[in-house]
Amino acid sequence: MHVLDQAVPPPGTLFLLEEADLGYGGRAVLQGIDFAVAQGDFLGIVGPNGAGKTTLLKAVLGLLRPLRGRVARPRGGLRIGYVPQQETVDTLFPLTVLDIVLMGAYGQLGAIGRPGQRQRDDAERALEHVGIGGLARRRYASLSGGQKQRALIARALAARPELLVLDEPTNGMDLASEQAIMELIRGLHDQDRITVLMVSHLLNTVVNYARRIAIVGEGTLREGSVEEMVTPENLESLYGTKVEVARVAGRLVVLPAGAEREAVG
Amino acid sequence: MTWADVAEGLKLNIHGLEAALAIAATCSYIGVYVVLKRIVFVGASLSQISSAGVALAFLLGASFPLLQRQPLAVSLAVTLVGVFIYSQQTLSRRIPREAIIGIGYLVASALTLIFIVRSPKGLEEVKELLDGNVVMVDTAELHAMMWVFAGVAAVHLLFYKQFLFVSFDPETAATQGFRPRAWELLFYLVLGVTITVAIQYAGLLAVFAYLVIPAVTGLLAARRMVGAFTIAVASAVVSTLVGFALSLKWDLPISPPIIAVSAALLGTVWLARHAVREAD
Repeated sequence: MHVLDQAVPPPGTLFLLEEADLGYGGRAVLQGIDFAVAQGDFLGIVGPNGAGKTTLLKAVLGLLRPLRGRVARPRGGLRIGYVPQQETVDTLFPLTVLDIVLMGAYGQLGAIGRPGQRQRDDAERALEHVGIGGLARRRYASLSGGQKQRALIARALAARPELLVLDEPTNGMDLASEQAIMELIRGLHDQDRITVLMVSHLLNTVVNYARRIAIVGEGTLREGSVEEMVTPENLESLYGTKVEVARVAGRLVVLPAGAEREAVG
Repeated sequence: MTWADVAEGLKLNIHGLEAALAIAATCSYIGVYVVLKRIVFVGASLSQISSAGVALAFLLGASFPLLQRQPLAVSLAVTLVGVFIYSQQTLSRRIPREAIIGIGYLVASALTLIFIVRSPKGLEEVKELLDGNVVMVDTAELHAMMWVFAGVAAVHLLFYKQFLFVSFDPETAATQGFRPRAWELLFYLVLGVTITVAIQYAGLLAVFAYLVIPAVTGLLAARRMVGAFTIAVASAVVSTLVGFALSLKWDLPISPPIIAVSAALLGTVWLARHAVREAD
């Protein structure tokens, strides 16, 4: 086994995996994959449950070392703003929204440093930016699902990230909240020029926001533009069921093949 | 005994009271993390393992008198083994962590009984293990305890953000360069040392109670971490002062009245919180 770590990627690339095997306890979940995140990307990672989306995500986050292959990050490391799945964040802790957003700056404070006024100002700006500036003093546990997600995105922004990584950011949300969160993420990418990598099992959501898609399945990974990747052939081999890809009111929609459609309203 | 006699008794036992207050403050502070990290039974199990270490020291003391005079070293060594095991996040994919903690508790309890039955001091030792012997603490022991607890406090104050972040959201903390496993190990080491030292004097019951009840009181009453720590420590200190006085007044062992007062404070906070919610 051979891993070349901390190599420097080509200019314009934030993260690179080459010929990499990813897995746990010596057993590869993904084999021989090539994967790159370029500066300015909005990349969606999709695939069935258990296909290895989380394994890939952990490799990007630096939480999982490849079993084999080459991994490259920019010299001096890659500043990542991570938005975990909301359910993994413990609501038992008596923390305000501001307390949580300040955690985004912890990594820049040194071993015994404490957040000061500058970090507080940054955190409050991040909260304003994601549209919940008025909730800084509220307890995180008392927020709605959409507000919690905005708070976690604000925390990720407080880390001043080069790469924003989101794990299932709209899980369990109603339609309106899901759309609002996705529009927020789109705004961070389009207006603030933040590189975005997002994992989701909600295919119809990802394909309408991401610029590029990485499909994870059958132990491997394929990456390309939305148009290249979101085809009935690719999705059928991935999910093992017949699908149709249609464009409705300007949005891509993936449907089970042969499903009867009926106009409503 | 009149209240004037109680006041006199507190003055006479001032070292014991100071030791109990130091134990109460330190354990209740760490207890906030113990409750938040949902490792209450790790606290119970480490307390029991530490007690087994004390009982082992008494047993070995029959052959090696030095160990009987200094049970702390044996207890600390045994507790650190438990600390190392419990700080591992995944010991086995097939055995739940709770089961391992439960097994540790049971084995430590069984060994404690065996060591006590075989040791020359017998039943007297059971009482000492459960209830401690805080009134017998001398000046040198008190000073040594204070230094240890000052070290514990320093570690917790200096590395507050690390302990908080890796307890609250270890995965995100890791993406920012924190090493959750290393900080978990440090947390458990500090917990193990605190329990080992505290149990020598306050006994098993009081130490476990200090780790849980004041922390729950603090978490129920406070809206922020600093408030939870403050209320937890304050309620442990009040419980100790009142419980100590009641044990003198009614000639009781020290731990039960402290625990009763602590539970009463928790009940009061719970009722008050309930009333406030109803009013809203």
